[in-house]
Amino acid sequence: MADTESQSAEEIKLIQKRVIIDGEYEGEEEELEEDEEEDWNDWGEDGDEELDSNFVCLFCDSNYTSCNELFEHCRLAHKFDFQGIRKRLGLDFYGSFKLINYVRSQVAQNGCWSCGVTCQSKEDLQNHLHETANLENVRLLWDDDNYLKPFMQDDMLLHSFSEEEEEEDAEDDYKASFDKDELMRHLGDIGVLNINEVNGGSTSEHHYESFKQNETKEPASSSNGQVVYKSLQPLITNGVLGDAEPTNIVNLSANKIKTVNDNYFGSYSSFGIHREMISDKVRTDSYRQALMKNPSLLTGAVVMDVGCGTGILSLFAAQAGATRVIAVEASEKMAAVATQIAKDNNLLRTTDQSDGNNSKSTGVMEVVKSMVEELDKSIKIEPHSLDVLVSEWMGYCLLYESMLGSVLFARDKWLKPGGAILPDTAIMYAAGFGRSCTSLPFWEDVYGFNMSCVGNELVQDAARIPIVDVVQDSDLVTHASVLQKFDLATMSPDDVDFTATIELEPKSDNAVANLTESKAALCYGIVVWFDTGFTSRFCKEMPALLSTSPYTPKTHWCQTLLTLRDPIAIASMGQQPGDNSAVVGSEKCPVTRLSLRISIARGVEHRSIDISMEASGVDAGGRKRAWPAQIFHLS
Amino acid sequence: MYPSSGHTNGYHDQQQQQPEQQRFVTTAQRPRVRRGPRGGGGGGVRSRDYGDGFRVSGEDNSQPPSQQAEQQNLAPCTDFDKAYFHSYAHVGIHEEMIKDRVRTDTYRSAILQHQRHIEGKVVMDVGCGTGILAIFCAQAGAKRVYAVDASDIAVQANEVVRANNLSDRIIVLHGRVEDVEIDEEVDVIVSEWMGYMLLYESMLGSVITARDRWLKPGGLILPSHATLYMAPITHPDRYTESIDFWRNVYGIDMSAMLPLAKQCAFEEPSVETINGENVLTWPHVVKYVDCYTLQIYELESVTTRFQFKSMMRAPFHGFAFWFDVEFNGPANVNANAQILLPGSPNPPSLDGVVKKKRTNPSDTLILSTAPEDPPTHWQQTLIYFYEPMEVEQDQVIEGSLTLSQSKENRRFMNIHLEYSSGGRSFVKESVMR
Repeated sequence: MADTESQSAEEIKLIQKRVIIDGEYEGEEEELEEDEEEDWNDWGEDGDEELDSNFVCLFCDSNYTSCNELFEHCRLAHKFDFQGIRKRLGLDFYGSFKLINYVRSQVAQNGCWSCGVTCQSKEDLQNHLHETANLENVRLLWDDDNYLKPFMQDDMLLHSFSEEEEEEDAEDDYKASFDKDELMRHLGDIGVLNINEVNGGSTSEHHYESFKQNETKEPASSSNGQVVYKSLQPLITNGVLGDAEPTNIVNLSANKIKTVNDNYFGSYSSFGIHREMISDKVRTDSYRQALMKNPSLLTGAVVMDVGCGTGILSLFAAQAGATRVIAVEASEKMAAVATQIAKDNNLLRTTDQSDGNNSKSTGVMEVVKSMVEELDKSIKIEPHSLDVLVSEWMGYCLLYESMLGSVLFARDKWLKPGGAILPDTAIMYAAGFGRSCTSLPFWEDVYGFNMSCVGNELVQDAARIPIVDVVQDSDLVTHASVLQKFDLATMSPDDVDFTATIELEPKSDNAVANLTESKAALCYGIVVWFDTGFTSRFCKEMPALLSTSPYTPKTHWCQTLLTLRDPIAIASMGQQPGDNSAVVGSEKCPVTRLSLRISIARGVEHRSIDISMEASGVDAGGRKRAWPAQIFHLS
Repeated sequence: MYPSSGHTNGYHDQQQQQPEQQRFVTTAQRPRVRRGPRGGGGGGVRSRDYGDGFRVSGEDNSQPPSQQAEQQNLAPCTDFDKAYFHSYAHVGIHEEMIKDRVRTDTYRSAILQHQRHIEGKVVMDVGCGTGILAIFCAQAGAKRVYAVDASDIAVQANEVVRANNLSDRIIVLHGRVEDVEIDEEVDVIVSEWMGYMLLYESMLGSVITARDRWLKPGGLILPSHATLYMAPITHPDRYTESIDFWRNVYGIDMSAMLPLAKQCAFEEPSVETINGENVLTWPHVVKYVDCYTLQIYELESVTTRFQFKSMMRAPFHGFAFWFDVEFNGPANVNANAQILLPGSPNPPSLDGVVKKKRTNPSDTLILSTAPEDPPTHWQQTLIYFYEPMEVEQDQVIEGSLTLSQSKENRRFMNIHLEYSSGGRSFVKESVMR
């Protein structure tokens, strides 16, 4: 018993050695049989043929069981001496990491990593590959943070080349201050980041290292000064870094790593969001109805789906009989997933027409990984050739982080005159909400203690930042009023910045309930929501409506609450005039008409919005009052 | 859940530069599902900008707090700490915690049960939040209560104290226990320090600091003891909902999403509620903490070896973690310790013992977050595997677990889990953020 225990502990250790990023190590091939233990114990020395043949060559399709074997092969067969290059350039972990990704990305385009020549085929490239004289210059090509992003999914090489290195050059000074696992994790993190925002300050240690290299050697040659500039920029802007001791830089990097991580997980949760969005039946059903129940619109149509995500809207369109569906998605990962899903459902269009014996080219859907604005670089689409433009572009409060601009860009460029845009209308509504929508009631009595001050603090916070939350029909104290209407078929992108004035009337049931005892309702703020319509203009057979109102089943958009600094009492006309000595809008002297001037404008930050709200009211006696404007920032 | 996860509209590249959850962190969400500043879905409060308006006590002194701390050989306040404290200034968290009646009621009962130790005595509430425990202590007759909190919520706590006419007896101190100064020793320390998986957020360290700085010999600490448990679980529903969902979406095969979905759903520990039926065996004690004797260094890393025997045949989906805390006096023999031999000099460590059923003859109050007990806002913490493992009845599941403070942020926790069963061995590393 004790024996097997120690054996299994050993197994674990061995496995641990092989598990790189915090992944689980599992799957059929990894299954451990008792009698295989011998092999396991051998692992790491001779290498196990079966289990580890997952290092894919950088240039051809051969697999190797260890990094060293692979690099040896690359050196002999492809004139690429990885270890030699590392030594000559003194490449650190990140530098090597980038080199691998750079080479892989070049090879994928049949490009030569060292001279940049593009070959006709993979074979040509393999024949072309040559030794490189001026490595320092070539280095500038890959010294780009974009190459911290693994080019190949699950590239075992990236996880393992440094193991060799650790054994080989143990006197690696500054790298030692990082936990290797952490390092790998951060690299994984960086993998999904778009590192173009270098100026945004996402300094992590690779900047430091490139800086250090540039410092110790001559500043890199000017042939591609921009790259150097780019990686130095954060150091310069951060100022401190220049003079700081390396240790401080390391600490600071740890801070920055956290930022990178935050970003990473921020983006990461977005995969969960796809399930949430698809599971949002209100949303998906309305699109499905519009696409599937309007055969005259979709049959034979050319369709574009802007920001396709998992591609579900495109798949609906394809099922509905479209002849061509162009699904555009800017995220590489999601575009890959959408492609696979289309393929799995036999709806992917195979673009390779020359390959005649491929009988699978039945699909109509193609996935393009691109921003809509740069679509021309990836695919040729005739101007004004689309019959249908579909997109689920709406954000919180309709306009926050919305993709509307991109949809309108696509409309103007590719939609046929008279072509359909789905949805084709968007209407924003506003209504007043009552105390039940706030946390105030809760804090009034906490285990018998009055904690109202906490609730008040909360309201003051909410008077600056919109809250996204679920509002019930019963929370409303006024009728709803249309805040703004957009016609997607005709609007201009700048129309999303608007100012509107609305009048809110108290809910009649308040008045009915309180006919005798006239009691004003307190309006604590304004709730905003939207509907988007698939109207009969394009959906002739079966129009559809997607509503995110408090009256209809909830959606993942919820509603957006704009809280007033102080509540305003509101009562119906017909009630006795209020107390003239009291302030207008107080409970003793409620307003009978509440006006709100609301402006929404795109913020300075990308995709954020600013909302301003000014309230004014008139009491039953005609006295007026205007409240100071409040600014909300949704970012 | 709904409002917190952020809606992307497909522009993921853009969005990756612009972390989603940051935008609602500053909004006061009512249906908050998370206790603290965890990342992911909704709790990203920690990312709130803590640059301005943050104050720790001692800032007005000529001496910066960090220097003070150094002189006393106490941990200096890091940026991470500031972010952490600031996250607790967010009122929604406190609302959620106070609404957790199991938590608040147990504390209230414990304070009343120990009234004779509190009446006329000096009490400190470490991490007082809105001050509810301090108020309970004042109600129980405490002569003076020091309510300490480094978060801006202390300002509110002060207001609450004033509004309830307790200013003469409750002194709210806005600062870290490492930095604040009081002129007397205290008889009682009360604190609600427990985080997810007990040790996540490690506020226990502050309680120990307060104990070492101010608690009189023989003084009372509430809670006095805490135990972290783990057990293998089966949770087919959760797996189906998160993973199998993609196999058929409106008749469309979206299996291509499976790898992403698994990563997304199961890479990090997940805080959720399970029930007793999900648990495959009796739990294993990962760590038993005696607040009277615990030393801070013991919290840096906790390692345990476990061995379970599955009590049924089921798909084994992962491990659940939960804890309970006991409210014992210092002199009382603790309820768990009765298995000790009489005359045993030191209470031996209970770490690693497989707990069967708690015998509790002394009516010690226990706040339990176990799956079989009423739910609390702590719920349970689950670590799921990417693929379930079929286990037979009596099949042995064994391995080891190490919980350690993250180097990246000491309030994060690294979880290193090794487990094997049926001849297969696995390692899972995750970080509780």
